[in-house]
Amino acid sequence: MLIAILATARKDLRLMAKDPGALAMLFIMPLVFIVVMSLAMAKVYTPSAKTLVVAVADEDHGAFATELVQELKSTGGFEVVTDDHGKPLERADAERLIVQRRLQVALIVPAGLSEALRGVLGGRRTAARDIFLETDPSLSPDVLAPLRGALNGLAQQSAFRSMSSAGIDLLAQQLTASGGTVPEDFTRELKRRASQAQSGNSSFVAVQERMPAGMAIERRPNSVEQNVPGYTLFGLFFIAMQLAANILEERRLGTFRRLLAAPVPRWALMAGKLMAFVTINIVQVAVMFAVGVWLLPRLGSPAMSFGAHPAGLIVVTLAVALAANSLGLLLAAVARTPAQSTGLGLIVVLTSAMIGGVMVPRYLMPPFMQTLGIAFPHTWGLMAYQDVLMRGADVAAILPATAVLVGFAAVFFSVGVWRFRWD
Amino acid sequence: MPPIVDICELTKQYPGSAGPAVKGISLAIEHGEIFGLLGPNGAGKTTLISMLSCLIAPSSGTARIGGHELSAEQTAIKRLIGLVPQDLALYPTLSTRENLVYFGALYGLAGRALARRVDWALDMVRLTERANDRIERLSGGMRRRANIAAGLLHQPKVLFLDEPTVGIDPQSRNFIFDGVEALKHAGLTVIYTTHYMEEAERLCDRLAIIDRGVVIALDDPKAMIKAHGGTIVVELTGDAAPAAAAIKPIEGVTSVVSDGGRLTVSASAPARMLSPIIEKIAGAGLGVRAIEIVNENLESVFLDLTGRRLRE
Repeated sequence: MLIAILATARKDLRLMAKDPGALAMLFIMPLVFIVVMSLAMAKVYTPSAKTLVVAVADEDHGAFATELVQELKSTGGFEVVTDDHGKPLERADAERLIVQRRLQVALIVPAGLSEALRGVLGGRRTAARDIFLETDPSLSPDVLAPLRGALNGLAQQSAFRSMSSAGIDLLAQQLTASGGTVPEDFTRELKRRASQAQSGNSSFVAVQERMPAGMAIERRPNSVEQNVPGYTLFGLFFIAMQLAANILEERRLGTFRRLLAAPVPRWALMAGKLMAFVTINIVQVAVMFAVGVWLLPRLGSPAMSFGAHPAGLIVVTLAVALAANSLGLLLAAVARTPAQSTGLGLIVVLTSAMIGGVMVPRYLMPPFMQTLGIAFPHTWGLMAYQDVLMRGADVAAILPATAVLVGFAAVFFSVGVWRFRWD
Repeated sequence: MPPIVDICELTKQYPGSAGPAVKGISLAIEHGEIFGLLGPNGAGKTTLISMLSCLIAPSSGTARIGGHELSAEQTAIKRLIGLVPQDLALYPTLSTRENLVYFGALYGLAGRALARRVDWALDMVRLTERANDRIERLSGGMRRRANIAAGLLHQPKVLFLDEPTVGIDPQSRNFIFDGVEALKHAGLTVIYTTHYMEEAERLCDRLAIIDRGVVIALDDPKAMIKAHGGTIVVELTGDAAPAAAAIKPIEGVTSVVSDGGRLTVSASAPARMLSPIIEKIAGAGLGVRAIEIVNENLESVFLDLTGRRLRE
């Protein structure tokens, strides 16, 4: 029996090795996705990347503009540029750079704004208290919104800071004018304390980011951690089409009749076949993850590791392989020709991959799509892979997601066997 | 010695089909004979072989192969039989040797024993020099020979050859005939299905003619031809029934079948019977549109029995 199972596995591996189209679909296609998407999307997924460059044309040259530029830089969310090749940016320069599509956003701080703010303390009303955000009209509102929100807050804060020193002077003048005496040391000390309280990155209320207990590590996936497990899963599930086509081709060639006439149980024939295809899945994962860990960083993409408990990757891979190959059996049962199984398989696999977060992370999807995602195996596979790769999960931690994948396999396998025609 | 294949009232009705594909066939096939199953396409030959090869379950009836009951001892039967399916049941992108190694392994062969059997089978079908060529690069005749080799690897006692010469050149066909005869001399029982009467006539020790799921004749092919003689097929201008009644009493006529405007007359010497037959037709007030003499062979036997040609 074992001889027949191993011989069947070896035969199917040989058939696969001689099928360049299948190898391209299972290895080259996901590798191309992994390399291209990891490199192309590196800035989108890397939290430290300053994706939006904000040019500041400072015509004010006063305390307000200085405060605002400093605050904007300290957010870390934008790349702030104040000069063009060493020459301080002016309004005309900024506008030219936007027209030339070399910049998307420029912040103009008009001359006299700091002075105007000081005037407010003296009760002088003035219209010249605007700053201007000039933008490329094609810039997405989604990109602009965070900058707009940050500027609204920072502008008020900077205005307050720039005005506080002048406010203290004004207070002293008012008290002196009323016949009082304000010692110069007191005024100086008051200014020093105000300045100290507002200096650097200190805030009155600080925002700290945390993650729930149990999610041990630290960060969202970078582009490699998103795309390597994602497109590996994508490639793993393409095995379903290959297995279905293999079975249907055996039926078309008539080799199935010969196999069934041999003194080997049907389950053993199927076990041999599944052994071959699961082996291919394991090789796929090894190749794709090796590219993610060792090759991509050399090409300039962010790094990826095998996680704190790499054994978890083996468990997830076996569960995914079971689900994918069971789906292949189901496709072979419901389709009549290899072309039909490939067409049907593409619909199922692409849908599951898209909704499962392979192409777009699920946290970016609307809530109903995130809920819908739990009905697709890619969701659980990707979640489990990422838990191991970047959240420090061990085998026990990924057992729930693995169990769901095995559940998918059980459903696909049961329906497939029920509908399968051997003759 | 009991027959190596003993079939009793075997019937197969496919779900949803109007009638059974095989209707109550009983046959006893002896050790070492080449037994032919001759019939037109769709006659039920492949269904019968599929049941005997344990590929499909009979609807009713029983069969024993090598003393093993078909319904209960399938694994033992599968070890005794070799199947060469009508389709070219090989993997086109694998080499001949790779195909044979795989099919041999399914019968539990491994290591040197497997290698020896593969070499023997390759030699048997004269493909040793092409052993490492992919099947898809072989000629049609060579592929057929490789198909036969795959059925011989485990030294079966009974070999089912299902239309083994379809679509190949005369040279390869003769090669296969020689091979089948060699297997018979080696003591193998061969059950050979075909719709080519020449093959059945040349190869078979005994022959069952199957039509519409039933055996309509069973004998040595030569005896069968002798008993039925030649055939004259006449297309008439009107209903052939009155002419058939007039022709039947003619001496030397063994049977007359009328089917609408067609008359099929069997006679031991058909050419000599032509004149009296035409006289009777004219006497019945009918005209002749076309006439054909089919000399004494299995085609004439089939015509005589069914009123139809094998390839109709």
